[in-house]
Amino acid sequence: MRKPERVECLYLDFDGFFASVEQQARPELRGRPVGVVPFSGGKASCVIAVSKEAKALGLSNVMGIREAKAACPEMVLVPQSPHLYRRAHNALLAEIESVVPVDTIKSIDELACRVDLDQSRDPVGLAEDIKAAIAENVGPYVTCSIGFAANRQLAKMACKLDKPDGVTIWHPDDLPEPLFALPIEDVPGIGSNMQTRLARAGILTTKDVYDLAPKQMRKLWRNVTGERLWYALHGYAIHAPESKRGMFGHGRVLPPDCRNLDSAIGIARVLLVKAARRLRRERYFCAGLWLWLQHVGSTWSRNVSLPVVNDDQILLKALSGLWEQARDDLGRAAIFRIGVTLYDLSPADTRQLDFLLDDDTERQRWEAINAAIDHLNRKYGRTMASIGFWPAKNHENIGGKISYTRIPSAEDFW
Amino acid sequence: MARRSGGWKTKLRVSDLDDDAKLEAVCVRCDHVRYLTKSGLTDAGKSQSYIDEIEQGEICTVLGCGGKVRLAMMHKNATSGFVGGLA
Repeated sequence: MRKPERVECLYLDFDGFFASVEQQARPELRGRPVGVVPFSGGKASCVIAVSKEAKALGLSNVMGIREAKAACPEMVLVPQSPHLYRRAHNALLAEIESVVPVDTIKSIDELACRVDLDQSRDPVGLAEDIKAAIAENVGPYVTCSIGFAANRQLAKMACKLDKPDGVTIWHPDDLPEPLFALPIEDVPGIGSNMQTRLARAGILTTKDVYDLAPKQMRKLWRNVTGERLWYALHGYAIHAPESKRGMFGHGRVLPPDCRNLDSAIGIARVLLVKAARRLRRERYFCAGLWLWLQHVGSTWSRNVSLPVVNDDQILLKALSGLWEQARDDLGRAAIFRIGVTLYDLSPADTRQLDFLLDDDTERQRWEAINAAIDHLNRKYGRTMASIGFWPAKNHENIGGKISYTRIPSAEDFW
Repeated sequence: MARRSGGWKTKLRVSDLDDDAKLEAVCVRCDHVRYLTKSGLTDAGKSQSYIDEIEQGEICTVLGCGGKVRLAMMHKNATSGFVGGLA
């Protein structure tokens, strides 16, 4: 494996992304401790992101709302705006790409770029150009921290050292000493369970991890990830392998007025249709639907196999079947959460139809209807047409969830 | 020719975009979203226009709105994720 002799990777992490985008968009929040919460009015939930000002007061992301308010009574709680964060992400990436090509997007607020030979001679200048492009063309309230190193993993670790708004450069010649200053829990890939496992083996510090052999790391991790991490920590040109898509799904905690099977079916249908739209947009078909319900004290789930399909009609029909089974099993039990998943995926160009199933004409008809519906919705930028009823309320932001593996598009909010 | 100052919209022409690039046009008045493609803009004779010029010339297509739009470059919405903590 190649071991770079210069800085080859830039890792950029926006500081308190959700909160700083809110501050950029809403001047009244600037300079104040801000906490972004999942929805307004909830007190039992948690703060999903805090601003730089709140962090300076000792608050952190994923903190209970009550706990955060007790520690900082003046903190302003703001309900999340996924659509705004999505738009900010696109605007910021365009500015960064005007300075340096983006190699990969790791999440809505983290990305990595490859640094060419010229740029590697002046990484500070490159970081200043990026920060200036953002400040000038998006706004000065969204700041980022940047790390440079021989590979993505080291650049990510370097990037965390000087937050907020910092720049850290780890030249290959300078390593490994700066690594040894980091606590073991700050090494990405070493969570609390792994830390316990390592401690049992007498490995307590980052230096202890660094001094292991690749095969020892593999044995301790019980898979190849440990060995990959060894190469990353030792400065080799390695990064996470591309993961293959395995499913499309959506889930939701139900609002209080929808916590029974009669009322929740509308939300379940929206969840399924939104997942199916993504399936079609990314040119996949699925061969199974899985429905998951959380009710008092337990969970209920069933799945159903399907021919290789992607149109709403057959998927909604399958959902109705599963819903009837839930009704038989759960009766009038209160349910709190719903999840739907489309699995067993095939890319459109490798679709294999069931030759024993004589539904070709009907399927083609429904697929054509669905294509027309998708076209209408795209043209008007909202759900103009749907198969069956579309609930009037309680579907806000369904499909717009921001996760580590996905950044929603505008179509996900229709 | 002197280099234009400003953000990416003042630096890039339609012809500089990737063939599959999509621009998202969001109405600043009604939030309506539609997409502009490189092929669509090229067919309209705008291949040599800068993105900021496209933005100035576009209006919202919702009946009765006609608001100004803000253009954003669309990116892949799938991230590459972390595998076992590896970036």
